[in-house]
Order: sequence, then structure tokens, then C-alpha cells
Amino acid sequence: MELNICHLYPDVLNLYGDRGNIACMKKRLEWRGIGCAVTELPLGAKDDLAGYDLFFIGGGQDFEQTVLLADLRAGRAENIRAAAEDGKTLLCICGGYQLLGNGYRTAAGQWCDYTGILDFTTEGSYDRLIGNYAYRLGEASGGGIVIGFENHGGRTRLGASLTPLGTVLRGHGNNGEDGTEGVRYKNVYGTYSHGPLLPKNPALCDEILRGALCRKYGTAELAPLDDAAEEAARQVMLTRLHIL
Amino acid sequence: MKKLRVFFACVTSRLARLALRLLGRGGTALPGKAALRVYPGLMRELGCGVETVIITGTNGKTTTAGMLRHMLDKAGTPYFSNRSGANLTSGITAEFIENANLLGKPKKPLAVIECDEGNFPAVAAALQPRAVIVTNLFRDQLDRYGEVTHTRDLIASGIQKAPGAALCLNADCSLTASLGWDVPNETVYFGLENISGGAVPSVSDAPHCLRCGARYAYRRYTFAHLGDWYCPACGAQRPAPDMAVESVEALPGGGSAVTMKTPEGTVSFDLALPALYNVCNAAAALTAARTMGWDMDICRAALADFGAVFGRMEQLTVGETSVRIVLVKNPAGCDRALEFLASQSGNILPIFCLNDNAADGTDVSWIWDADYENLFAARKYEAIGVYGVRAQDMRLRLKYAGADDASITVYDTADDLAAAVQKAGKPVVLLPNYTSMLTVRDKLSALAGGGRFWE
Repeated sequence: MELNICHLYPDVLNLYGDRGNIACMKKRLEWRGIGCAVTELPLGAKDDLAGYDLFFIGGGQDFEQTVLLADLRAGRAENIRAAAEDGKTLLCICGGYQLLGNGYRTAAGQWCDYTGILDFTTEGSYDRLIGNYAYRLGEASGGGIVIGFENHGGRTRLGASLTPLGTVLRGHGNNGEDGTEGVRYKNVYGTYSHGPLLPKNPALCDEILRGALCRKYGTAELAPLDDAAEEAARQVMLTRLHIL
Repeated sequence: MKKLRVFFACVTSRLARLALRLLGRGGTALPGKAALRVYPGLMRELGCGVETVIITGTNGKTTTAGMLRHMLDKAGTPYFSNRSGANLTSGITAEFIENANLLGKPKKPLAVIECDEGNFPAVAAALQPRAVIVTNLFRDQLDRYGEVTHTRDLIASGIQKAPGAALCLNADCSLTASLGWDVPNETVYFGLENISGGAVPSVSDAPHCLRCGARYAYRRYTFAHLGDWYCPACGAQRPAPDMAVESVEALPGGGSAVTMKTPEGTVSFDLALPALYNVCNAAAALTAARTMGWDMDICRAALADFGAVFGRMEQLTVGETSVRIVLVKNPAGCDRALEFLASQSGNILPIFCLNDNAADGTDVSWIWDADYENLFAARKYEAIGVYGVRAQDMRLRLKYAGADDASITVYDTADDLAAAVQKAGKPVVLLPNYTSMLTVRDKLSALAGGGRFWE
């Protein structure tokens, strides 16, 4: 078995620690003897995305996101939409998550069209939502607790047809008001948990890998790993957030 | 009326400082804060009649400021400086109060001031510095500063308020060099010529042209996003440095022999501190020294015996163990420290310390952007230590970088760490972030017989 992972726009969407998610998926496949190839596709790369099983899109600086929109419009957005509809796995974080939506209204009131792959909209604010946070995944995503760090000015509101990835336990999530965090659609995962989401949430990492392997091979059993270090790191933050 | 407010503010600060000392505590932030409460315009008043050089930027501030102090010490020039790393408005104010009599008249006419990037606009506006050094700009403490272009814009806004300041800018850093675009200030660039660190960085903090948004190209990389950059689309490019390091030869003791082109001709000097990034810091310091009109022969000679400052490549002997402390605060600085660690042959105990206090940045995800993988590409360490509020995050990072989890020991307290250092039986290299460095250094230097940091 083997997964072809595509890291989209690593040159512009690579905010704090995003690489940790790629490293985590790669290691957890390798430790189980499953092959893994990671391809980085920067801005302007010629590739129709058909050869990949799993896509990762990270967060970026505001300045760099404007550079990105032209590339998305030049055909990349349609490639991503096709992959999502085809049941391929997408993990999209922070800026990468927002790009899946209809668009972004800046705090100054300016509207930017995004890809419209999923029906949600983000409104900017000068007041950023920053800090350690936690959410409970929906049943479809395993139901476990995710701990992470959020740092976003945008407030995201999901369209009525969409399911959030989870429910906020501590912190703000999508908008700090409706208790939702992220989005889950087919095998698409969007979340504000920036940086190294997966190393500290190995169950979610395995859920994501299992989904991609199942789509490709029809079935996938993932052998258990020694997650003592992962659990120890989780415990520190769960205790601090008064969850366990 | 102004004089009276200055007087009361100064008295308040002195009393606060005295009280802290009586309690056995250091700290300069509180006295400064108290004084600013009494009179917010205090710094502007106290800055009058003091010629100031401000050092700001992401990495190398403290070392560069230390070099400038050492130059002045060698020359016997009186000056004052915020030497304990109190680089926010409050700490800097406290330093100016210390230098003034109760009526606000300065005792010494020259100041070397290290300034946090976020506080730079207010400090530059108040002090009207003679020179400003910007060492470099990297991603740092995203939760505090926001994105690195935002930090650049903050510094630009400070420069706008100090048109009389001569700017000493790193030509090799596209973000820093851009501060010299379209400003009326006198501008001097420093940089490394012909010197290449080799590898293309995996993550760039500044991939795109600030003028037109196109992707920068490089004729040469030094390290991280530093190098001979240019924009193929609009023609923006690295300015030719006025002070250009042309060659760096390693010296037996770990330092460097450097030659540098200056407007006055090519000069050479020895630098005691190891690592290429300290050559950049030396170039920055010499550029400012020249701008300030200091004796360049004395300044260059001073670099030959300038030792480490406070946790930056600092060396201690604890019991039988030799300890090197290398402060790391962000991915770019951490990668330099990891290169240093990887270059140390023989049996070594590396210890990584990670806190997430406000002064560190509460977001520790940057550790995933540093190349810890490089440490384990060629060797395994028998034992590795981790310590700090986020020690378990550090352990996890090392595990995914290729360390054997069973070789990692988590020290719960600084005492546990100190005990492990004492009985290490091999050299220790400590890579702490800021507040964990304060705790650990305090503990180790007490064992090594050193003083506390404000002393």
C-alpha cells in the first residue's frame, strides 16, 4: 500500500509548523510499512492533481494570500474541487481552510472571491482569536478531542448544508459564537487548528490516513502504534484547559 | 510643570526599583511602567541630550548591542545601555531614568539601546536616535507580532517618526533592506559578499517581492531567506552593501578571521564568537560604529575578545561539565543553533528547553518549522534531555525528527536538569527558549559561581 500526498502551495501557505502535519502523516505511514510519497506543488506548478490521494493546504500570511488567488483562478480551484467531489482526502488549515469557501470580507469591508468549493463565508476582524483551544470531533470524524492552537482574524460561518468538523470545548473555533469548529465534507477536513495539528492528535491523523487508504484500496487496517509521547503531550494541554 | 512631572516620575521609578532590590528581585520593567504611569511623555524628555543607537530586528539584537558596548568599553567612552535584555518601552524608560538626575538631566550622553520590534515605533519616536540597526527579520512569535510583513511595517512606521536616524540595514534580508526604500533617512547597508551557506531553505519567510508580489530569485543563498535576492519581474534587488564581508576563515578556537570592504578600504579583523550569523552581527555593529563616528581601529580590535552575552553561545563550567547555552526563539535562529550542535563532534548531551510564557510567545508550533531532522540524519544521541512547560511538545518534535523516544529524558524541574548536567560526564549543549533560558541559566550559573543576571 502507498499514499501519494500532495502539499499544495508550500511556498506561500506554510505558516507556523504546517510541515509538522506532513512529517506526522509520513512517519505514521512509514512506521506501519506503508509507502508514502510527498510532492510539493508551489504556485504556478503544472499538474492536474489527478495522481494524488491526499492533499494538504496550510495557512499563510495575508500578503501572500493575495498572490495565491490568481493561481487558484487559473485552474487550480477546479482541480481541487474535482478532487474533493471525487472523495479524495483534503486537510486544509486556517488560510487553506478559508480558501475552500465562497470568499472573505476583510475587516475594511473589501470582498475577495475564493474558490467556492464549499458553501461558507469568512468575515475579517481586527480582533484576532488567539490561543490554545480544544474541540470534540463529530461522530463521522471519530468523536475524539482535538487540541490545538488557533490564531485567526477571520470569522467563518458555514452554510446550512455543511457539517462542522467538531464542537468547541475551549477557545473560539469558527467564529467564537456558534460553537462550531472547522468543516467536514466527504473526505475534506477544514480547521483553524494551525501548525502541527496531527502530531498531538494521532487519532485524527490515523482517521485521515484510513480514509485516504480506504478510498484507494477499498479497506484499510492501521496497526496500533506506541503513542506514549503523543499522549503525554496531549495530557499537558488537556489538564491546562481543564478538560480532563 | 513638565519638570515637576519628570521629577515625580523619576522618584516613583527609583522607589519601585529600590523596593524590588530590597525584595531581592531584579527586573526593570516595573519601575519603568510606574514612571510612565506618572508621566507618559517621560522618555522623550529624558532622551533629549542623549545620542542614541537603537538595535532592533528579529535575531542578533542582544549580541550586536553587546558588541557595541564592548567597543565603547575598549575605547573608554562613557555610555549607558539596557543590558539585562529589558527591551520593551518600560525597561528602556527605566534605563533612561537611571541615567538622569531627578530633574531629568542626563548623566551620560550616549546610549546603546536594544529595542523589541513591537515597541520600536514608540521608542524611536521618543528617542530620535542618531542611528538605527535592523539586524534581520524572520518569523517570530506570531501570536504577539502577527505576520512578519506586519513586523516590517511596524519598524517602517517607527523609522518614519525618526527622519534624523541613519539606518544601518541588512542588505541580505529582503524584508530589512526594503526599509531603506523611499525614505529620507541616511541609509547604510551591510551584508555578506561571495559567502554562501549552500542549501536552499525549505521554508522561506519572505518568498515574494514587497513591491510587485512576484517570487524573488536568488543569485546566492547565505542562510534562511538571506542572500543575494532580486525580483525578476520588477527589478527590485539587494542593494550593494557599503560594508561588505568578503571572506570568513575559521579560526582554531571556533571564531572567524574576517575581511570586509568598507568605503574607507578593505579591512580585516578577528571575531571570537563562532558561527556565520555572528559575522553578520559584527558587520551590523561595525556599520553602526562607523555611522556614529567611533574609532574604527578600536572597534574592530574589540571583536577579537568579545565573549558571549547572556545565553547567546555562552559557556559555563558546572562541576566537571562544560555547558554551552544557545538561546533559540524562532525557526531561523533555531536552525543556526542546530547547525552548531550538529557540528560538535564527540559525545554530547543536548538539552532542549521550551516554555510558552508571554515573553516566549504562547504558540510553540514554530518548533515544527525548525530542521531538527538534520540532527538525527547522521547520528543518534545516547541521551537527550527536555525541560520546560512544553517539554512534552519538545519530546514529540524530537520523536518525529528521528530521535529514539526511549533516549529522551523529561526533566520536571530545573533542579533535575541541573543535577543531570552535573553528572553528565560529557559536554552539554543547551538550546532553551527565552524564559526557560532565564530559569535554567540562573540555576546553572549559581552552581558555576556566577551572579544573577541583573547584577
